[in-house]
Amino acid sequence: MSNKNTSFSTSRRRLLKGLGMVGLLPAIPTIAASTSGHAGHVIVVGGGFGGATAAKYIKRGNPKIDVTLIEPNSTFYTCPFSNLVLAGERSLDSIGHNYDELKNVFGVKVIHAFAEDIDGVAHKVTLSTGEVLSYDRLLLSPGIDMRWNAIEGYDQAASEKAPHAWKAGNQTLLLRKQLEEMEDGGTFVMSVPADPFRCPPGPYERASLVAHYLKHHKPRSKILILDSKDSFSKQGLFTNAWKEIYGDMIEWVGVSGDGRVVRVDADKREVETEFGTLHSASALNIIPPQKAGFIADRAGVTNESGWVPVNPNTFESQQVADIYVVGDATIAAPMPKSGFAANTQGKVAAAAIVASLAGITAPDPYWANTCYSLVNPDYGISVAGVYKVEDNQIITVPGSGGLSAADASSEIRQAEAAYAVGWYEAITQDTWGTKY
Amino acid sequence: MSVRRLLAAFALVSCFPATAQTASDWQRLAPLAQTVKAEEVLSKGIDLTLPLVAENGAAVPLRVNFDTSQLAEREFIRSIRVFSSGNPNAEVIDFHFEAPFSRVELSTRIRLSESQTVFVLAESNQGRQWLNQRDVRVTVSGCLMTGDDSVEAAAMNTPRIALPRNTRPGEAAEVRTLINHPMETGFRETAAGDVIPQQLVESLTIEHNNQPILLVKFHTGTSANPFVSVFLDETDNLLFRWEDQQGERVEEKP
Ligand SMILES: Cc1cc2nc3c(=O)[nH]c(=O)nc-3n(C[C@H](O)[C@H](O)[C@H](O)COP(=O)(O)OP(=O)(O)OC[C@H]3O[C@@H](n4cnc5c(N)ncnc54)[C@H](O)[C@@H]3O)c2cc1C
Repeated sequence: MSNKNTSFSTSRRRLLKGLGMVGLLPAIPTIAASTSGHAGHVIVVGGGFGGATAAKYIKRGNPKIDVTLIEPNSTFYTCPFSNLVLAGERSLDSIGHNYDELKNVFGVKVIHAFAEDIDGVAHKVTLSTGEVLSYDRLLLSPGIDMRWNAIEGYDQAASEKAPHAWKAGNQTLLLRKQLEEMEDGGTFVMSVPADPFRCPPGPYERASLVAHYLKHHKPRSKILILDSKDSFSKQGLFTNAWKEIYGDMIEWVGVSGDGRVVRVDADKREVETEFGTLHSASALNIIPPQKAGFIADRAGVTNESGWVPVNPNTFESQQVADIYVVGDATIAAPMPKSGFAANTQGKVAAAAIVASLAGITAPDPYWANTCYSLVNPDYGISVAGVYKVEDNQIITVPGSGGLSAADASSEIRQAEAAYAVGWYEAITQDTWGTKY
Repeated sequence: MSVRRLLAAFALVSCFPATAQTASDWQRLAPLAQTVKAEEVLSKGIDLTLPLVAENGAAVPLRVNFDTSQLAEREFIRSIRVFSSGNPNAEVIDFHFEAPFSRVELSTRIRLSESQTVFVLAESNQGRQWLNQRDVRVTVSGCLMTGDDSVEAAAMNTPRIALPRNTRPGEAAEVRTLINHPMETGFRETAAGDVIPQQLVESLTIEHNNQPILLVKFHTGTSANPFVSVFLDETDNLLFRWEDQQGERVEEKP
């Protein structure tokens, strides 16, 4: 993907307005360039939001540290803005990012392979190529894996027929294809898991943007959201906007209205809910329950919940020394599982790793998060928060953040949609050095 | 912090910093301590499953599993009761068994107003008692702010019952039930500052061949739209009856 040269001054202005918080990130201790000799070897597993950010900020903190990034794909497709791809508003290319900046500007060694096993005692990582690498510090940002068969009938093979599209790329295209092939008057059915899962507002943004597509191309169609929860992120804002823009196209059924899907027949595109209701779909999107990426299990850093408990000051594992974990794989609530959160956690862990290799104390962390959602390409809403550590737990800074106003004007909704684009450009620039 | 002070502090508050509880805290939780009568409280055989971190304290999934091989001959589980150390009201939900169940495994959804310890106490017809507990951290995830605090009508509606699709004779099978009702705690206020009066579904009775086999008592700690799943030995001729605080009844057969 190439960097499109948008006018710097306008995108910059949007970026500052939209981002607000990014300027507030923790200071990374910069180790004087004169430090001589071997400063240590850090392996980063996963080149997504958390991992790519961490690799870069470790190098920025101390260029003498050797950093190796393990990531199977040469192009990373972001989940953020993948709902626009689904709606036909963007190309998949436009949300693809590569590792050129990390390699060429920051001197990160990038190996395109899977990490298959980790020995935390011996400090070794085994790759899918058979290669075994040693590390002084390891950082994992593997994102999520699906819990196959947590819903009866929904395994990896079924996800080819009823895509989750909860990792962007081919899955996004599969679901896009179902939408394109859907008849006017058909039903798009989406199943949403209980918390915690990647990107709490994501399903509702998806429903909105699918509605935007259907409204213009297949206006007699319906969207049915079958939810395993009774309330959801930005619910009031979404519900009002749906009514205003899409009339009664979107129907949401919570768990107490029999919304929990317990069985999927991917061939028939049919689902069954907890109390025995059958729903058939023209296009079927199953977002299954999730857990930390499998490599976290192999490293021994997950607990019984399937997620990774971390020391909030550094994001070092509570269970295995010298392994740091960031992003969706961690238990960082009240911080959400978002790309923004993974990015700021990557910076906190990078600072902690640089400090620990230099034998000094890590700076006090704090984090920010804003989740923008698009109800249509010109209608944005957001929720924001600032986080810090108190009594060894992450808490929301009292009085920080908040939701978009319920009664905002259409100019404000439009401005928030533009901030969302600014946010996307800024975070991808910060993480991979590429933007659309 | 004593339980009493906690309760006072909680009268009308639903969000409060976490308090750590230690292992013997059940003795300081009066409603639980009063219920423990056995000289020796057992722990082996009773499992309590709750998430370590709950991102939505309004509906936390809870499962209790009792290993019936722990029971003596002619001994069966009479009751299973759930208590909360940090809610304004310690009682969460009670199950009273009117007949022996071969498989004692229950699920429901509960409310937790803050990070705390949840206790489960099982009692047999011979007076033996088993206790287990779990710590749960309750934290509202940043992206989960809903911006919606509407007040719903407090009448029971839409009872639902799901029987298992295939049952094997002689094997207990899972039966799920739910009824729609907001379960107003009486601790909530409207935006204008008026207290929303308490409105609860009080109980669910399950009858088999016109004989009650299970009585479930709901409290303020039970989530809205009370959900119960149990394993029943017989799934024919069942009747489910819900009753609210006003004495209204709803009956439903699968
Ligand atoms: C539809 C949707 C919309 C979203 N919108 C937003 C939004 O608007 N804003 C926002 O902030 N967030 C959004 N998110 C959430 C965001 O995508 C995630 O929170 C974010 O990707 C988490 O970053 P991560 O580093 O933990 O994982 P990822 O970004 O998923 O990165 C994980 C990487 O690790 C690699 N990997 C995994 N296992 C291994 C292994 N064993 N060896 C080597 N590499 C491995 C994977 O290939 C992947 O590249 C959205 C999510 C979805 C699904």
